[in-house]
Amino acid sequence: MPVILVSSDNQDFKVDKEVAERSILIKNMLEDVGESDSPIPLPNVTAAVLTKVIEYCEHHRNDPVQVPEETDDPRKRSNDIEEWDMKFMQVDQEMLFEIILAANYLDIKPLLDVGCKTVANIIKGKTPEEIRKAFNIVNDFTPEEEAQIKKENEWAEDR
Amino acid sequence: MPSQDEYHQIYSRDSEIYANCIYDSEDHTYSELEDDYDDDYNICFVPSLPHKYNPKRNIAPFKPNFLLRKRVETKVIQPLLDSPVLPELPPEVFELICTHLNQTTLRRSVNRVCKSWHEISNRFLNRTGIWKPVEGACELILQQLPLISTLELWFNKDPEFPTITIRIEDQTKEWNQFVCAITGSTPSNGDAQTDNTNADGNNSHSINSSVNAPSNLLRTIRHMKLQGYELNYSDTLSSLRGHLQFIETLTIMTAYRVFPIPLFAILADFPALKSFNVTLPAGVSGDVIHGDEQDIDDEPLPVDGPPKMYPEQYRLQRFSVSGASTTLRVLKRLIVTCPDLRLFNLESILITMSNVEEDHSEEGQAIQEVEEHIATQALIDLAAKHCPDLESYSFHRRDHGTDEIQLGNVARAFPDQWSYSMIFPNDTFDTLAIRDLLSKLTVLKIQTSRYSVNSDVLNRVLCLAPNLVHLDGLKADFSTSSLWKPPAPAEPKRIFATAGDRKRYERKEQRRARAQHQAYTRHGSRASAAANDTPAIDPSTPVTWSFYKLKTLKLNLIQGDSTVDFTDYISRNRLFRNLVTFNLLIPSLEVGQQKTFDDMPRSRYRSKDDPPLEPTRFPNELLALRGLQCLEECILRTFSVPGMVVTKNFWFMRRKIDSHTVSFLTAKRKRMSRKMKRRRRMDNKSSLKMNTTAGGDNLDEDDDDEEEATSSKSKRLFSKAGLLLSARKSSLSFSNFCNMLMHNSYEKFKEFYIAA
Repeated sequence: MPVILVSSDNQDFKVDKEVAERSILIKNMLEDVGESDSPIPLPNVTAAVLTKVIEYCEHHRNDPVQVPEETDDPRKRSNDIEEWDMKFMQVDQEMLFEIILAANYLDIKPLLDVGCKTVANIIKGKTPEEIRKAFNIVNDFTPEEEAQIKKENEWAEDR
Repeated sequence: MPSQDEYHQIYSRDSEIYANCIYDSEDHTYSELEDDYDDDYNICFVPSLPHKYNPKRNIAPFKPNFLLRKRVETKVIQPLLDSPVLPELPPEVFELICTHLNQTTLRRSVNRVCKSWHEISNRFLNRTGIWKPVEGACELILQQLPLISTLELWFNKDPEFPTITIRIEDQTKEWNQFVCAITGSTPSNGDAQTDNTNADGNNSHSINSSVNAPSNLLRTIRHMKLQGYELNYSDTLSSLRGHLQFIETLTIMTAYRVFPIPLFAILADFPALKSFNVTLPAGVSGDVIHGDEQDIDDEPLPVDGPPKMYPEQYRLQRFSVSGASTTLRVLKRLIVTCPDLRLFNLESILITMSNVEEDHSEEGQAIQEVEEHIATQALIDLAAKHCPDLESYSFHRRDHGTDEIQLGNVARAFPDQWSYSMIFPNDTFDTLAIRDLLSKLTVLKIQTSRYSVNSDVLNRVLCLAPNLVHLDGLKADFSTSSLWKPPAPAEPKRIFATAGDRKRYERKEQRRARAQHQAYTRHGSRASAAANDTPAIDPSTPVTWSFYKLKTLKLNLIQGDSTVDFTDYISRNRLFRNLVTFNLLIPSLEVGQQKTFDDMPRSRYRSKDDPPLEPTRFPNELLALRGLQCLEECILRTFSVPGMVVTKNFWFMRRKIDSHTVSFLTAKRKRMSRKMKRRRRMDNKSSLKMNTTAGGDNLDEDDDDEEEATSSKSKRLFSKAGLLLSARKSSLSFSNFCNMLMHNSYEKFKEFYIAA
C-alpha cells in the first residue's frame, strides 16, 4: 500500500509502505493512525532532501533491521561504508548536512550512521584551520585559550 | 598588452608552481622538513608531471590570458559552498560523528576547532594519568585529575625506570599522600606526618592545599589500571573506599607477585564497575578469592549441584581473568550475582574441578575426567541460565587444550556467541567437526599450548572462519610453512636443437612410462599407486584464508619464518583489504641497509688497502602491505633488525585516499623565497651526505624551531601512519626512534642496533 509523504515545500511523494517504514518516525505515525490514506506531512524536510532519503530507503528496502555491533569494541571505524552508500553520499556539504538532519528527524539510523561516517571521513586528516574552512566555522577561541588547549593535549599525547 | 614585468611575473610564478609540483612528488625528504601547521600556502601531493618542465621545449609563443589563468589549487579541500552558512548539526549528531573519529583526530583537530566542538569532543578523549611512588608524581597527577579519564597506578615500580625497584617505605609514604589528597583526610600514620614535617616548603604547601580539595576527585575517572611488581589490594586501594563509585573498568596487571584478589570486596568497593580484567604473566601466582566471610566456608560443592544464592547483585558486564587461580565456588557466585554479564573469559586458570582425591590409576583418572567434564558443563549451563545477555563465554584451564566437545557445548548453550577462544593442544583437533561454528565466528582468540608447535591445525581453523572481524593470535606460534602455496607451474615446452634430440627425449619418456606401468601392474593395486600421490583435497574445504572483513589482526610468527612469505601470501590472496589494526610479532625485519663502520670491532682487522665495504641492502619486506588501504595502526615487534631503519622505509604507509581527498602527510610549509629555498636545499644535501653514514634522516639541528618541528613531525608521522616499530628487548617506540634518527644520535642508534 502506498503512503503519501508531503515535504516542507508542499510536494507529494508516493512511496511504498515498507520503504516509508524504514523511518521509525513514519512507522510509529502509521501505527498510531492505523489504516488511512491521509498524507503524512514532514515539515522539516525539503523536497530535494526527501528525494535523496527516499532513494536511500528504496535501495535498502530489503535490508534486515539493524542489528547491534558485532563486537562491543567501542572504537567504531569510519571506513566501512558500502560502495553504493559512498556514491550516494557524494553530494555537496549542504546536502550532506541536510540528509543527516533529515535522517535524525525521521529516525533512520543506518542513514544517519552513513552520514556521520562520511562527515568523520571529511574531518579526518585535516587541521583545525582546514576544518574551519571546510565547515565555515568561526574560531571563537582566544589565543590564550588556544594555547591552553594545546598545552592540555601535549602531555596527553606523549602517552 | 602586458608589460615586460608582468611577463616576468607570470613566468616566475609558473616555474615556482611547476618546481613545487615536481619537487613535492620527488623529494619527500625536503617536503617533510616543512611539515608545520601554521601556514597559508598548502601544497600536498599532486600527480607528477610526465616529464620535467623545460621552458626550452615551449616552442609555441606564450599567450598570457589573465582571465583563464587562475592559481593552481594543488590541495583538494572539500569545496566551500555557494551558500556560506551550513546548517548546524545538533550536539547528539556531532557526538555520533565523534564516535567515528580516532583519538588523534579528536585531540589534534576537532578539539581545537571551536568552543562547542571542544566541549563535545572532550567527552570522547581518553587521557591517561599516571601515579607512581615517586616524589612529585602526586602533585602532578592532582593537577591533571579533572582531565583524566584513565588513571594508572604503579606499585613498586616507575614505568620510566622499570629496572629500579622502589622501596616499600617510600611507596607507603607516597601512597598515603595520594590517599590523603583524594579523600581529603589528614595523614594518620607516622610516615606521612614525618614527610610533611621534613618536606620542603613548596611541597608541603601544595599537598596541604590539595588536602582541602573535594572528596570526589575521582569523579571524572572511568578506567583504572593497577600495575607494577607487587599488588596488595587490601593495603592500597581499599583505603580509597567510598571514592571509587564512578570507575567502570578495573585492570590488574602485575609482573611479579599478587596478593589474593578479593573479587567481591572489589565489586562492593566499585559499585559502577562494568569491566574487571586480571592479566598475570606465566609464573606469577595470584588467587581470585571471595574477599569476605565466604572464604572461610571451604566445604566442597557438589560439581553439578545447585549454586548457593546470594542477595547482592552487581553490574559487572565483562569478566576476564588470565593466569590466576580460583575456585569453582567463586565462579558460580560471580555468575549468580552478575546477571548483566556479557563476556566471561577465563584463560590459563588454575582451578580444581572435581572433588575426587587425586588418583593416578587409570580408573581414578577416568572418574576424575568424567567429573571435570560434568563440572565444566554445569558451569556453562549455569551461565546460560543466569546471564541472558552473555555473548562470549570461554573457559580454559591451565595446561588443558580446547576440545571439539566443549566448543560444541558452548555453541549450543550460547547460540548468539560471536567470540571464541581456543587453545590447541595437539594435532588431532578435528576442525571439520566444528566447521559450522567456525563459519559464524567474528572474533577469535587463538593460542597454542607450550607442548604444541605445529600450526597446521591453526591454519585449518583459520581457513574455515571466513567471517572473522577480529583475530588475536599473539600467543599462537604460527608458521608460514603451513600456509597453502599454489603448485609449481607446469613444465615449460621443451625446445630441441635437432630432430634426433627430440626422438631421444620421446624414447626416454616412453621407457619411463613403461616402467611406471610395470610397477603398477606388479603391485596390482590402484590404491597403493594413489597413495604415492598427493592426498586429494576436498574441493569444498577451503585451503586458503579468506578474511575479507577482518579489521584487527594480531599474529606471532615463529622463529625461522620469513616475513616475506607472509606478506606474499597476503598480497597473493588479496587479503585484509579492510584491515585497520595490524599487530605482527616477527623474527626479523629486513629493511634498509647494513653497513660496517670504521669504529666497529670487525673493521679493525681489515687492512687499509682493502676496498671499502659495500653496505648490504635489504629489500623492504613490508612493501607487500601497500595494498592494505584501510590500515590505521601497524605494530611490528621484532627480535632483530639487521639493516638500518629510516623513516623513508615506511613512506608507503602514509596515505589517505577517499572520494574527496588524496593526501599523504599534511605537508604544510611556510612561504619561502626562492633564494631561501635554494639555500635550504644546499644545506640539506650537505647534511644528507653527512648523515648517510649515521643512518639518520637529514635535518638541520642549528635552529631550535627546526627541532620542535622535527619532534612534532615524528609524532605526526607516528599518528598519521599509525606506525609503531619496537624491538622486544629495547621496547623502543617508533616515535622515539624517529626522534632519535632525526637528531642524529648515532650512539643511541647503535645501542638500539646491538640490543635488537
